[in-house]
Amino acid sequence: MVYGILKIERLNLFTGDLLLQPQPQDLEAPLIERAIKRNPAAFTDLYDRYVDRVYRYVYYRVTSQSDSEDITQEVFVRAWKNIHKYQQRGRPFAAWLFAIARNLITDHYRNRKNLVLLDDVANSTQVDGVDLQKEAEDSFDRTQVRSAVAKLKGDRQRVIRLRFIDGFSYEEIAQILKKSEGAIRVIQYRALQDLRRILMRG
Amino acid sequence: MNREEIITRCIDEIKAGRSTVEECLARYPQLRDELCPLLELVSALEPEKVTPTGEFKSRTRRMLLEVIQSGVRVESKRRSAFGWLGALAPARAVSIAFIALIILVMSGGGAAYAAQNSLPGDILYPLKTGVENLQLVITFDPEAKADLHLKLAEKRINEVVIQSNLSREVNTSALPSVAKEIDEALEKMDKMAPGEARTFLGRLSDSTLHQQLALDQLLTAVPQEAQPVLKEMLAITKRGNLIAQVAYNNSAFLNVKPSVKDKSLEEGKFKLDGILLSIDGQDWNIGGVVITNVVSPKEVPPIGSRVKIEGLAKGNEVFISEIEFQEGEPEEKVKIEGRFGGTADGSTWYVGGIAVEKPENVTPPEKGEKIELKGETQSGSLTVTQLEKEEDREEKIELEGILKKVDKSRSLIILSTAGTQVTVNVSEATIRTEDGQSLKLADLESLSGEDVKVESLYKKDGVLYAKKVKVEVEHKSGEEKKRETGRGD
Repeated sequence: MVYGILKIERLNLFTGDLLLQPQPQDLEAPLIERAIKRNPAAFTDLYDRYVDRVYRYVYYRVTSQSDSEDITQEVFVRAWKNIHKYQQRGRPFAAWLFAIARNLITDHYRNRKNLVLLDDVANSTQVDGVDLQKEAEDSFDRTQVRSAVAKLKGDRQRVIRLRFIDGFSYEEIAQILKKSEGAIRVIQYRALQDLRRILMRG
Repeated sequence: MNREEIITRCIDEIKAGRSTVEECLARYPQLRDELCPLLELVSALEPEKVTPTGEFKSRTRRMLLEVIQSGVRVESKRRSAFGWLGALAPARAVSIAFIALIILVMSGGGAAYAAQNSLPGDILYPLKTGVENLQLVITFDPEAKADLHLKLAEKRINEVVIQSNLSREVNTSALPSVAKEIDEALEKMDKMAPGEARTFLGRLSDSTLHQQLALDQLLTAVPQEAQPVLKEMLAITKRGNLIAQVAYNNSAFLNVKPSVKDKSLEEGKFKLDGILLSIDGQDWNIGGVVITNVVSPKEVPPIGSRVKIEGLAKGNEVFISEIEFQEGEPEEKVKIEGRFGGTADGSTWYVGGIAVEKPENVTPPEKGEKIELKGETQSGSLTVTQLEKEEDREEKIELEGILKKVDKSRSLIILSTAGTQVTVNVSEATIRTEDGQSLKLADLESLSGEDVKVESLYKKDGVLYAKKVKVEVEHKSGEEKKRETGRGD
């Protein structure tokens, strides 16, 4: 059965896998415009384009498949209901979707706060087939790097977060920070040098 | 490139998966000490790539459509107060739609939701198509409606893909509606603004290409008895693509109401290369081949220039979809490509819908065969000296476009066709010029802007591959080529 599902995923040409490569940004503007005018086909095309990124954004913050799926679904439902509020100028569509996701993640943690205390996970290292201990070891370095990122200043921290953690392109970051793509590359280079120095100092 | 640029470039390439850390270090050994820790840092910064499952994506997509359908509002700019009454004309569709509506209301949407997963032959399948009809009835904007018809065509093919993947019996009963959906989408085009129509044609081109790829893949997986209908669908989607390509560059073509059911459509496709000898009203004489009732999308090239035209002969008219011309080209050579359409009056051959004087001492090819006639203009008429037949007669999926970009490190080329960009992996392809000269991928980098034909296309793991690439390298002599209209414009 699982085999069947995997095969569909590969061959399902008209859902998530229709697009061969990420489409250029210039083709996206008319799509968004049509979605704002409540064109269902245009909106589902946007869904196809962004579902992976939104899911990834959510997953890194909630680290549970089922919660990530629930939140990702809700992001797109809210996006459809509120798409008339999206203004194309100055903000990438991905950033708008991530803002919706961020609000939902905050709600999720607010609702789960007490539940987590009741979860008896301390005695088990296996949850849903994931070895928590191994995952904790693997994430150690990353946590150290992440805490170093928090020590970066201003735009340097923002560029590193947007580029490497949230997966934005130079073009999108340039739009968000209202700077040229060249300037973003320079900031990225300097931020990485700073980060290296912070980590070397320990 | 300075140190900062090199390091940034390496980071970008590694991040995009185009290079590995080792490859970058090998390329810039002098920067090893600085590069190494930075690249390690980047890989530590980036979280592991997680992706949602295909099942989740499909489920969410269906759920979204449910949400959209339950509260769909459509653009109203062209809708008059009673305009919607006209949309209620197809009585059968409306009755099915209302039955679906009643079920929808009675079941609180649950049955309809369940029906969205149904496949042809399932009990709930008529409800699914009923909901689709309802959706069509309540969609008024021509562009949105055309989009919906196109989506439904895709859906019908996708249903068979799913049946095949689930190893279920392949039920092709719903497939014939693919032609109807594409034709109905085309019918909505005369109500669209020109800009919208061109955008839609781009989508039609892209969609029908993917429909062909899906059907081609299915043909290798379905039993023998299901193959004729799939082959017919493949021909229909190919015609859809052809219509999109021609109409994108010459909107007048839509006036003849082209249909994907028209089996004679491909027979009218031609390419002609020769000196433009004269123009008399709508009749053009190119290298001794007289084409009557030419409908050109742009101004005509100057008499005496060498022209290369592509188009489609339909009815009594010849619609040009692309013109390139060069001035000051002295050669008298003529070339015409197209399917052989038979003979008339014992002295005329039809090639791609164009009448050509019957060549001497040449055996006629089979009707429908793809041929290329080469010859010279002598005293204002064409003398054919060579007939070439396409060796491989098997129908393959192909695409023509303008070469936009070459990514050598990933063996990718990007073509622009009907306003959309298509990325093709050519790692397994042979690359040749029109004259059969072998090229390397690196050679293509300098040929950006040229016409490229990618042949024997297939899809593997979501990536489009070609087995053959044919580049139309421009003539070396003469002044700079001018493009009057092109696929990618």
